[in-house]
Amino acid sequence: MMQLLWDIRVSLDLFLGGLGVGAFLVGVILYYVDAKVYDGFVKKSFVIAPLLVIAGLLLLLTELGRPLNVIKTIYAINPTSFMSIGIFLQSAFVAVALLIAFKVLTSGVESLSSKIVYAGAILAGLVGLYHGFLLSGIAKEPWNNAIPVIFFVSSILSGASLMVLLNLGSLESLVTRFKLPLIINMVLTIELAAVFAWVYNLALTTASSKHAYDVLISNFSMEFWVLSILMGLIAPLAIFTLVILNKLSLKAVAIPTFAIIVLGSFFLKNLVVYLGQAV
Amino acid sequence: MTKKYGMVIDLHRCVGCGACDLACKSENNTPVGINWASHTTETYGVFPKVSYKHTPTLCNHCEDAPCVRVCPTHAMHKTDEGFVVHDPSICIGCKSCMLADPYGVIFFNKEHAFLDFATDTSSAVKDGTFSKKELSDKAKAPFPNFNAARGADGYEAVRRKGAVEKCSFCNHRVAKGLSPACVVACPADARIFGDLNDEKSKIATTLRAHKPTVLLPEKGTNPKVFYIREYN
Repeated sequence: MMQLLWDIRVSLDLFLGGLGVGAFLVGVILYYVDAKVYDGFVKKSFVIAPLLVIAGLLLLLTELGRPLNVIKTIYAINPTSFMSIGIFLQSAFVAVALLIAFKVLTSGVESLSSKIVYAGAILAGLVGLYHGFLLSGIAKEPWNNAIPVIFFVSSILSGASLMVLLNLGSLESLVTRFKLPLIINMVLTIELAAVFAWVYNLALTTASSKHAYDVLISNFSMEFWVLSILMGLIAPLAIFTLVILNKLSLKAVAIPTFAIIVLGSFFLKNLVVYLGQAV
Repeated sequence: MTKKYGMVIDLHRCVGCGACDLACKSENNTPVGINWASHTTETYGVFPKVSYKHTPTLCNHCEDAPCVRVCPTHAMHKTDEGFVVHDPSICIGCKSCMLADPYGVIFFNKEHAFLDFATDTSSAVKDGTFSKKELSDKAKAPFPNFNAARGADGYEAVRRKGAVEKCSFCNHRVAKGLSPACVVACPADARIFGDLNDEKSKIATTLRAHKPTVLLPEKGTNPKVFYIREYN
């Protein structure tokens, strides 16, 4: 029987943190493209991002045996521990993102300094990568070096999808200016390639990685093939391909398609967290 | 030269009696489900050629300890003498060390250990036997969630929930010049504990005389618990 040391709260932390980071980075892109045109979108991104990351961190705190001791991580630093480094990165991101959110809510998007947005973007990127390194640093077979890429791309996809869902009014503008289905399909393809690299590495390298692959295929087939791959990646890829080919209207399929990308991101991250503990 | 402690377990001498497991429990007051010293058993082969393997296990006090590498606060740390020990005062209870540990010898204290000795008032024979709470009250100590021997020398004596714990090579005993409790309790002298850096020590000469093995050598953790010879 699987000894579950990290339960769904850790998965939710990685998922919500990823959503926040993705939402923030999409907001940053639109801020630099045209802050005036995308004012509403950018505002929502910058406000929701820290809230999602904080929600994830609060869930994580409930998972710790001694949450009050987290304060001691400020001076008891272990440079070889990704968690130790990540605590500083996440704290810095939350501080900068909250400052940006406060400025946006009180003085509007135009009041933001591009330097602080840039600093926030760098921190968001580092936090997005940290989510995967937290697992790969522990070095269990399923938590190999493909995980930081998978998690980061998944965070970008889910964060962007969430923000599109919250800004359906801007959909036409985004499609016209950015060819949105094309960009999303490119990112979905990168994610599929990263997942393929991960599975390939598990299935064909060492004896213990092959065991991990067997567990993935036999015990987590529903979560992996159906919820993560088919629903979260292949179905949206196919739908957006039909949209690109003008066989479908994006407006008609936007809500369910972006929603399954968000859900798929959760199922994929949850699967990885659980699989690492099952082998 | 700094001392570097290690342990040799002679599987040919080991009789599988479990005295080491019990001595550790007694010395360190570990609750049910938490076994700093334990063992694995394996029966293999096809009748009539069947073999049995009994392997005592404990923390390997690895040179390249993964649990030390991943601990975010250095609660799990390595001493100059080679002990991998844990400081519960700065442990955040994240369990990263347990996930990184390939040997499964680190445990999480989910509940207050022995809490039943403070709350359980039921007795096996009414008015005939002590309840756990009565026993604890009469002992005037948080018994048995209190390690008098360990607590007397500045080590944490009361085991509180929310932190991990593991074998410490009885470093509180070693500091007094004594051997770990499991070594002393072994009726077959199957365990040799000592300074690996002292070429004349019994452990160093034993290791030179045999071909020692370690658990999971492919993990590259460089364990300091060595096994020599076989039961069969």
